[in-house]
Amino acid sequence: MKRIKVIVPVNTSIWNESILEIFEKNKDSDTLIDIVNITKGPEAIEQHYDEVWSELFTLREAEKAEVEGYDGIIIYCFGDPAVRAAKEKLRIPVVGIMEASIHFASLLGKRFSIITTRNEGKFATEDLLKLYGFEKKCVSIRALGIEVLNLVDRSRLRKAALETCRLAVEDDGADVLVFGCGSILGLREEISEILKLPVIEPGITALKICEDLIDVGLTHSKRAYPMPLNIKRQI
Amino acid sequence: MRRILVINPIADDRWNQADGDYLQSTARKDTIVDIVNIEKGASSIESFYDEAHAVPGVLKVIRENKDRYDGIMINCFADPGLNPAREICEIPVAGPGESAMIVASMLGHRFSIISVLKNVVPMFEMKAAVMGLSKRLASVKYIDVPVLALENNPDTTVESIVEKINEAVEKDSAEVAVLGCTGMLSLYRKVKDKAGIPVVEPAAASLKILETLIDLGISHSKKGLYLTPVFKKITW
Repeated sequence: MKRIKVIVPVNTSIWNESILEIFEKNKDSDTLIDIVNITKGPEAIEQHYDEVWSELFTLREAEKAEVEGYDGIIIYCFGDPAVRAAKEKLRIPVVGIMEASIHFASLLGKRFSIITTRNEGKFATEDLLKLYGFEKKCVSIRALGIEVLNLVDRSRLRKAALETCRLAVEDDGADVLVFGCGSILGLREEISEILKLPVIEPGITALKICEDLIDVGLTHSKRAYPMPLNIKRQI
Repeated sequence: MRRILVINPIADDRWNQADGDYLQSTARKDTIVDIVNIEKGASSIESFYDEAHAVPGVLKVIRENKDRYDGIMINCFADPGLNPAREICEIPVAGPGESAMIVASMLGHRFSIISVLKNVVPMFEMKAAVMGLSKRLASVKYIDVPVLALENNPDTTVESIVEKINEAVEKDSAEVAVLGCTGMLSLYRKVKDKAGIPVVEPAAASLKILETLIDLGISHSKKGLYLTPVFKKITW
């Protein structure tokens, strides 16, 4: 039995049902999934500013997970907000969806492209690519030109995604595509079929990596993510 | 239900039973693991020379069996034949070396590989470089025990591996250790219990990555790196 807590680090539950549906379809039979949001903070994460707004509340939810008896946590935003901070405080696996998906993508081809929401969000993604050391394997970051909250418009999303993914392959030479936002959902199989290459949806990739880590009994190194000192901290 | 073929890329069946049992017990409940070795090749792989001898046999097994499986794993840290195997396969092919380094990269900033002989140090440094992980690789260390002698004195071998892990932590700032030989899998539990940092056992890492690929219906890209070869007559 694997109990996984999925933190969708925004102050809205509009994505929970779609995420849960996809997770239930792709999880192991012995995995139990709970999805939570944060009750303060931003309703979407578009750039650094929103990330900072989200991080402290996300961290609180992550910290609770160990006490609540979870075996692993997924922080469901491509900006990986609070992922490193949570790893410092916790001993159970903490999986960020960008971290999991770009590591995974690097196994599948020579160079991947990230399909993100807005041009203004690219810089945060670029920073994380450097942190994880995959800037050379990422051939481009292309934006759909759609704000996260407008991704609920399925037909607009589909049209923009088909066009943007095609450009990433034809103009940039990507041989693997990674969706750079957890809310770009339901298009993975169709685009993979059309363009004949692997398309990575970061959320379910993180789910499988989290299950894998729990199965083999691995978690992050406390040498890399040392336990924080016991000092006073106030919000 | 997933059917996985594990290829031991050596001309020796001595590891098949133990490796098969270990991998089956690591696998998800509905995964079936079959294990075979190759007919011709080296009895262990500790150099580019040995690796080169493994590749034709690995590709032969894959050509003859790929239609009956959902995924293939080449069970050696050197990943012999991984790239050509992907060129001729649509189904996912995983290698322990590559998989373990990726898993290790998710568990810390810097990992060290603890392997068998001095010969493999440049091999694995080059593998990390190709994968773009050189900056994450703290060091490759070796215990100076050949693959075929790893289980002669298991307790001593475990001590040597743990000693090298500690050295990697203290001297090279490693945060995660990777066992750099799938022949060490029988020693993994004991090493894990004694090491102060996470230890990645490569065969298990590879199996899990492969199961994940199968579950998500994702395989390697055929657009560039793993383009299907142009057909021609090949003899040997």
